[in-house]
Amino acid sequence: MLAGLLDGPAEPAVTQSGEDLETRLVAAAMYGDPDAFDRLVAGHAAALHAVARRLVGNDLASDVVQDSLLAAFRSLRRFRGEASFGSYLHGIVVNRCRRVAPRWRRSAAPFDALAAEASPEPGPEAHAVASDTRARIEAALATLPLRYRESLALREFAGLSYEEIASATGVPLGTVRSRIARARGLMRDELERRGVRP
Amino acid sequence: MTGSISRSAWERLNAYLDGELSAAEIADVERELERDDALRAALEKMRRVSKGMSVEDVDVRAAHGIRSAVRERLRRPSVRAGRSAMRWWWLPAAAALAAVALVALYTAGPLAPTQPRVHVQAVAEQYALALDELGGGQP
Repeated sequence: MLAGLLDGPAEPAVTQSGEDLETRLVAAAMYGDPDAFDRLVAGHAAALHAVARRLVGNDLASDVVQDSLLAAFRSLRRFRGEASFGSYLHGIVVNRCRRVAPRWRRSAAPFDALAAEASPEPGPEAHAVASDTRARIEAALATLPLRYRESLALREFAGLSYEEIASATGVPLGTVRSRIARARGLMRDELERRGVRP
Repeated sequence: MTGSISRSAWERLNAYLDGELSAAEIADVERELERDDALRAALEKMRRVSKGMSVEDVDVRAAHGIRSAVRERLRRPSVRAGRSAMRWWWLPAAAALAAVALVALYTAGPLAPTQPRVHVQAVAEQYALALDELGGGQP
């Protein structure tokens, strides 16, 4: 439908800057092209799920991300390109997680839920030790208050910059900086308490 | 929380790890790292913890499923068409409710006239006109 808009005149995709391509895809998606939207989402979907999983648990993460993507498509006209498309998507996911997270915290013990999800299949000893450490890191992360977990998850799993995290979470840049530092400090304390030496 | 490291130094160290400092600040932190063993150890620990937090296979697999489901939903014409129709669903109901309220007000309520039939007829005509307009204005 919007092939001309997306492909450009004999312009190989590799020569387009990422931003350029993203702008074209956003424009096409705004006009209702689901394929363009899918291409936009492709590079973010796994990170969106990784973040959501740390905020609302494994059982709800897929539903939250799916609903968020549909909402993102419907409200695409609100995306002005001031922030990155990734932070736009993550902002929607974080907002939905905020609504769902209290329910999750009541219905499941975050530590057990995440540690179980991160438990490895039995394998070579070195792999098992590394996986065990990873499970403990997950468990320590799950003990953080939501506001700290949000910022740290967006940084670690989505690789967002502080500015993008500020945009996604709706808090000032300085707050993001202090929340991430506080989150890592709390995690360090928690890991030490559990006898983990990463 | 951060042991012997001050809060501001801890924040700066985190920002350093995340590549969020200016060139001048980076140089400052690196000078401090050279002479402070505790700071260096803290940074290494943070790096190792960071490595333990990354997108996993389970997220990649879930992402495929999510994208398929979203693609399927978006290809359904009802998703978009349904939205615009849904936006106005309440209008006829609101108009009907308003008309009923007006009728009640003018017949049994404090505004009841001495000749109710005339007023009821006027309200009914207004209601019919409103419905006509709504019918014409439907998307």
